[in-house]
Amino acid sequence: MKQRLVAVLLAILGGGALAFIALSRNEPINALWLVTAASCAYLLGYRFYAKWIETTVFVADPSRATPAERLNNGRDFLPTHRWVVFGHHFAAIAGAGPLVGPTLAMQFGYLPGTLWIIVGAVLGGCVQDMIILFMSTRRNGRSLGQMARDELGPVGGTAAVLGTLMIILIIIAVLGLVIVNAMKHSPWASSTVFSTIPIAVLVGFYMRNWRPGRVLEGSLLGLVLLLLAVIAGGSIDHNETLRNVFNRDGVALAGFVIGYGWIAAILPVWLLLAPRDYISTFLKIGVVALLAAAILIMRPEIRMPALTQFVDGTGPIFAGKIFPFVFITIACGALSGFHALVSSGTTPKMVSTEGDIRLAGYGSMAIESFVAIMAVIAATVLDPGVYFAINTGAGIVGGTAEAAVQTISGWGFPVTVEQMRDLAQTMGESSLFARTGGAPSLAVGMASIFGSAFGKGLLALWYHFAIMFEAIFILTTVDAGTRVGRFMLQDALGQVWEPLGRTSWYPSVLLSSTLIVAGWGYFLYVGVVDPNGGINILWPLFGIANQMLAAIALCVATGILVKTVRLRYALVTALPLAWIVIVTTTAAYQKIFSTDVKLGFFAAANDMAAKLAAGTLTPERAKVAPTLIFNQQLDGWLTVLFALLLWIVLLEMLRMGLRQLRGLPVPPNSETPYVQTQLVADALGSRAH
Amino acid sequence: MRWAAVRTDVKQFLSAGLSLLRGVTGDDAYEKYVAHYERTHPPHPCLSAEEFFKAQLEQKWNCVSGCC
Repeated sequence: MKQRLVAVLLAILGGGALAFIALSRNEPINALWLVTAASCAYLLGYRFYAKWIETTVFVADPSRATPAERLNNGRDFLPTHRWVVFGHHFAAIAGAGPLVGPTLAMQFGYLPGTLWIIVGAVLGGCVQDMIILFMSTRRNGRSLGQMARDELGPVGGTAAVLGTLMIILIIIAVLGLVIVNAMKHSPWASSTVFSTIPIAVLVGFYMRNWRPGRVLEGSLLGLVLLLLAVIAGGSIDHNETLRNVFNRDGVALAGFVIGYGWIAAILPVWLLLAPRDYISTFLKIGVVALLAAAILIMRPEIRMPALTQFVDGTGPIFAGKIFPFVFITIACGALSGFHALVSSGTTPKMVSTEGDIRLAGYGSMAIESFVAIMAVIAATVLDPGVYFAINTGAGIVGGTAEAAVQTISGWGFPVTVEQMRDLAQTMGESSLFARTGGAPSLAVGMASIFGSAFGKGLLALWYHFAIMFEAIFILTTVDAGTRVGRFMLQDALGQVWEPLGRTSWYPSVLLSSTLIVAGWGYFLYVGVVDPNGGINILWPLFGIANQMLAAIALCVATGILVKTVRLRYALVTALPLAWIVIVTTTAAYQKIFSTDVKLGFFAAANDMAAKLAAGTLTPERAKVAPTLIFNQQLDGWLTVLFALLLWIVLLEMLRMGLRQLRGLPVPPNSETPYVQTQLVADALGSRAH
Repeated sequence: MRWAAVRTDVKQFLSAGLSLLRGVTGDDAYEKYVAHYERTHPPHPCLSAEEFFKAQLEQKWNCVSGCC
């Protein structure tokens, strides 16, 4: 009874907040409305929808032993407390994605992005993560690629693996670009980001040699050193000689990120990769909690309109209409295919009972979605004029401050040169114009929220803290992604010539690492030399790739549901699948066939080639034009590949589903047989020996 | 009397929090491994803390374990 009352109150509160957000026009609303609507939606989704899926669709069985129990080896297969599994899973899925995508999507106004984040997560993203986790747990923790092969056949499996490899290359490149754009000509940001490397190495030695396995102590040490490095960055910024050492342009910084990624991929993990990941876990949980607290204390007003004129596709940050591009731009935070890899990676090996899967799978994604809502708030509490001035490339608004403010004010978002200069000065930067990629604008937003909640005097410090916070995730993605890509490539090369598949044979390690780094390094380099900032090209490509992976994951899930449960229950994944297929296919179609030079990859390539031939480009632009033309064509072909992979897996799934319905033979359900659990539940309902 | 009860509660709350934190970060992984080893007595020798940590890291980073 009491539970029902709470549910009804939550529904009224959440529905009311959502209605208020959707119906408010032309008057600023408080950020608290967004927080309320989102929290109520997640709680209701968790309590009812996820619970229904758990009990009715899967019929989760607490008496069934999980792989953690059956295959317990005291190491990776290990029954773990449900809140630890939850924390572990959240730390693994959360990164810079849910911070960047929502920031960029705010060019449409706050409403479309917010609605998609909430609805997409509750009905799509959380469901996908939970279901894949459940299916992998019932299959001894098998990976998405293996499940695709087992359940859909070899074609689906190969497509899933190829798709994963491609998305890794694109995400490293785009996040590398985000961090390069944040460090460009910013000695403070660059020196702070550089300092994370020696700090991580020091912590690596601490955890391995001095106090083996003392992860908590080592992470705390690293955290304190990082905070000192942020403060020291301010002094470096004020020292003429040191300033010049760290004041670098985009190409040099891209070279640094590429070289770093290559070295990190071939070094042992304990030295650099693992310690930084430990520190970043801490920082992630701490900053998310701090930001939530600051928003609750501050209750900032949202200044961005609910909808802007850019819903028609003329937006300056990225091209394309609100449909389908808001759903492509915001992937992580609403529905992210990448999470399916984590849900079928380490987490299923830790779950101690099937009853804990809802918390880890659905709950973690709900928190990640909440992080995306906070990114929305940080971007929309800025003056819209400031937001556009930071996020729009110089190639679109003009190279000078005067030209930029004139263009942006002309769109109806007033901003002045003085305002931008003062803001840059307060944040300790030389300029904030055209700092594309989302990180600087998020950092300005976070700094102003933190600043007004915890003291205004430290704005520059908060700004660089926020940049460091994003950089540490991104560098972890760069080296962890390169490593994963290397293993996948070695696996594939090993089928051609066996020695290349040996993960500890140095020539093969060097060759495959170089190939992977060259793959993403190329996209990063082109993004840096692109006068429009590069993000406008790479982010949609990443979005399409990520949603393609989500579609593959949902295909695998739907295929398994068709085989194992009542047909209508398969709609739980079939409906989000249908939506994401429509969105991704439309976006891919427009990116390939649009004649609008801002939107279509091939149209842009042809347009630039024509201009180059006619000699109408400035010498500066003519120099990079051949690179950009080739890149646009390559991106076009990649989009073709992504769309093909998606449709191959979809058709495989449909073919398999139809055979199943007609009673023809299909690949058998690969679920492991039932074994009775020997674990006993403790007072919290968690299981242990 | 009442204070003693509150203190016990706070202590329990904090130690539960610490054990969650240790679990999430993997700080207690070696202790768990040793406990498992002593319970099952597998045929191979028990790893030292350092060996275990190294093996643990290699294993963790040989698959997809992070996200966007």
